[in-house]
Amino acid sequence: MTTMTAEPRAMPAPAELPRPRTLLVGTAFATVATVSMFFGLFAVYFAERAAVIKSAPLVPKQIGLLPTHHDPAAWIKTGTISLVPGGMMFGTMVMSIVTMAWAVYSIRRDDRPRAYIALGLTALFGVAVINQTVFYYKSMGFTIVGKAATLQGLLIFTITGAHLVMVGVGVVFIGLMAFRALAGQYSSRQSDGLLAASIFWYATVAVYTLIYFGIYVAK
Amino acid sequence: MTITESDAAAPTTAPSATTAAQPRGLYELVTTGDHTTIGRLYVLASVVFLLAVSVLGVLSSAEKLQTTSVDVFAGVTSAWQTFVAVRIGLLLCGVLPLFIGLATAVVPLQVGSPAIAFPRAAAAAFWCWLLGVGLLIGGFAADGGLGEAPGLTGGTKVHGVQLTLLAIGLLIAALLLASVCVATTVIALRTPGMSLRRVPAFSWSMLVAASVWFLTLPVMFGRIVLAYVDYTHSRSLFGAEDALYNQIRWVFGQPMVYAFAIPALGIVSDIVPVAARVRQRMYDVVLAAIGLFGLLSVGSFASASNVSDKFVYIALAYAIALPTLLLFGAWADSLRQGTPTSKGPIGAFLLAVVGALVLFGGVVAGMLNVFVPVHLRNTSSVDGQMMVVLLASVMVGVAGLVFWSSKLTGRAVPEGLARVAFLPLAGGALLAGGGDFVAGFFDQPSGFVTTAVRDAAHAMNVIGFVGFVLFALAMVIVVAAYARTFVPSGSHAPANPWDGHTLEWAAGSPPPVGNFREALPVVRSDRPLLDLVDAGGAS
Repeated sequence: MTTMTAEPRAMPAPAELPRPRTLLVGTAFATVATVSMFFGLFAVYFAERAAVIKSAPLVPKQIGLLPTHHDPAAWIKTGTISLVPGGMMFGTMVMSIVTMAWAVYSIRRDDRPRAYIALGLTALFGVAVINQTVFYYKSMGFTIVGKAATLQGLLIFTITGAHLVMVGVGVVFIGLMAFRALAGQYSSRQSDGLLAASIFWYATVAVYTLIYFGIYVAK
Repeated sequence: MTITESDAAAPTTAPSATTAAQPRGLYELVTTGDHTTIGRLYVLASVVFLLAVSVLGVLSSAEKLQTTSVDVFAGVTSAWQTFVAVRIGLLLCGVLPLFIGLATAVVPLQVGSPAIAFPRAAAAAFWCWLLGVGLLIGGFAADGGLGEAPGLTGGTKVHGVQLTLLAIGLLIAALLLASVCVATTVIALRTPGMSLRRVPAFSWSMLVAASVWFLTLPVMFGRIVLAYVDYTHSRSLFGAEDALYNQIRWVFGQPMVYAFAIPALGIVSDIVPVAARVRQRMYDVVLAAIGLFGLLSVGSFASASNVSDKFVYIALAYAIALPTLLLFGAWADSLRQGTPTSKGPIGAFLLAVVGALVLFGGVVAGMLNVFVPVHLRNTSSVDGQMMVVLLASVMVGVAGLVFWSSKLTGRAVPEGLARVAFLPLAGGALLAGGGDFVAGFFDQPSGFVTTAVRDAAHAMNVIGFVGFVLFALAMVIVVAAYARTFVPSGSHAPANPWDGHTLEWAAGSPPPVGNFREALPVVRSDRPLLDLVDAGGAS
């Protein structure tokens, strides 16, 4: 007597979903436009910075040497911007890259609970950056109002203010995509919304990286 | 909210697509997501605003007839405001929305999509743009505008200036959002078989144009934000009352001004083979030339001051002639193979070809402007070249309106009116810009002129005035011709009145909801309807 063993039969592969990827493509275009705006503002910032430094008096590289180069502190005086809050924000943004990537990784493996946790953490980091920026503004020694207004303050507040708006938009975008994911719209077969949110978020972090090194560190 | 749209992700077989997408009431009109309706509204509003801008141009050029005194306006400030309003209005309320409106209506049809990508965003973009135009008018009317003429202060009201800056920002944001919808449609919603090499020329040109606008218009937006913040708080540098216009002045110079003419190249490339009744040869060259034209027109670097003597700036002015000549070669080749007949779109053909020739005149003028021995850089030649390029773009945009009017409203623009309009449009564009351009040879300075000029320059200013009068008259004809297509008289135009080659002519006039009544066959070339004819099917 032979025994029949039931072999597991795989279900037929699901039909290919129509995936025009509109959200992904549209977000990519919008992200390019947003980043272009920052490049424009950075161009103004660096041009003005170069002009001010170029017109500054020559100073020596070290005490005792002949004056050979323009004083870079002519643009932003030492102590005007503390690096600590900026560094904290940079760390927060770097962590948010990890959590955003984690969210995309999880949804692609249908691991919904972890995807929700990762999205929540990313949004939380975004809110933290907004909070830290407000604190940073209070500690900076710039004003843009009245006769005490400085060119440096104007440019820095405009660029970082625009970035603040970008972070806010990114948090809202992540929140919307998280709710869509909660509603079951995204899975391993369709994760475009989360991918789109991640593209925008990575651009947000990239712009902050430029702000951190180009403005806060280089001064 | 009522959204009369179909799902963009749905397959192109749309058996339920039987009724025309005509919103019945104001509520439905405001809340519609139908791309044809949105495009129709864009085009209507833009031609009306172009007429208004032309009238302002007449007034502004009349003021220029006597540069040493203020005769037409109440004061220098009003004259300056009008000078600025003509430029901003022409670009943000006329040229760009005209192209975007045509694209919103036609591009989904051309790529075989049942809808535009993000229909709600496209609708929001239109209404935000319209709101922006209203705010812009309000800003100028409230003694705001873009501050004062160079060297003057105190003639404007703070809230008016702030409102104008806000309006310009809103206009740019809305136009960018609309461009995202159009570009995404071309990239993501093409019908099966339509690779990017088979995309119709206008859709391709809109993709190229939108990509260039994404790289450049946000820079303009950033400058406006910077000016707003500075103007509101300290008015030290970017927001100084007489420096506001300088923040966006680069947009009206080359190479940036060519970026706004990119869709015009696509329109001409679509009209010429249909009028000549031949298959466009060297189609890849056409697409490559449009792409190269776009690449060479990325001009945000010109927002920095003192770039007019830089090598890149001068080289780009010459290099842009190469793709233009390539396109003229391709169009000439089509016309050599076939001849436009009275059965074809003659009105649109005349407008498109003559508009392209005027545009080429603008390119040549741009080359002369940077030719060092002629010394034209800071003269009115720069303004004249800008005006020629923008008005030529309007002319080609009107050609597109005539060509695709049956897809916009269901009725074709009367051929006779289109043929009547092309002469004053071409003459107006040439004279309005040409007057300023030639005046530059007689040392008339660039921008707002308040000093005495030589007699020859004065004569050129008279010619410029005549040009604006002609252009305004032509726009009256265009508005009347387009408005006539809204009048419900007679039957709708046939689906393919010109024996067109691309997929928009497979849709009804006007297109039904979902655009196509039957499933589209897989596209196998850049002329899918000609393929059907060649295979013996009905087109």
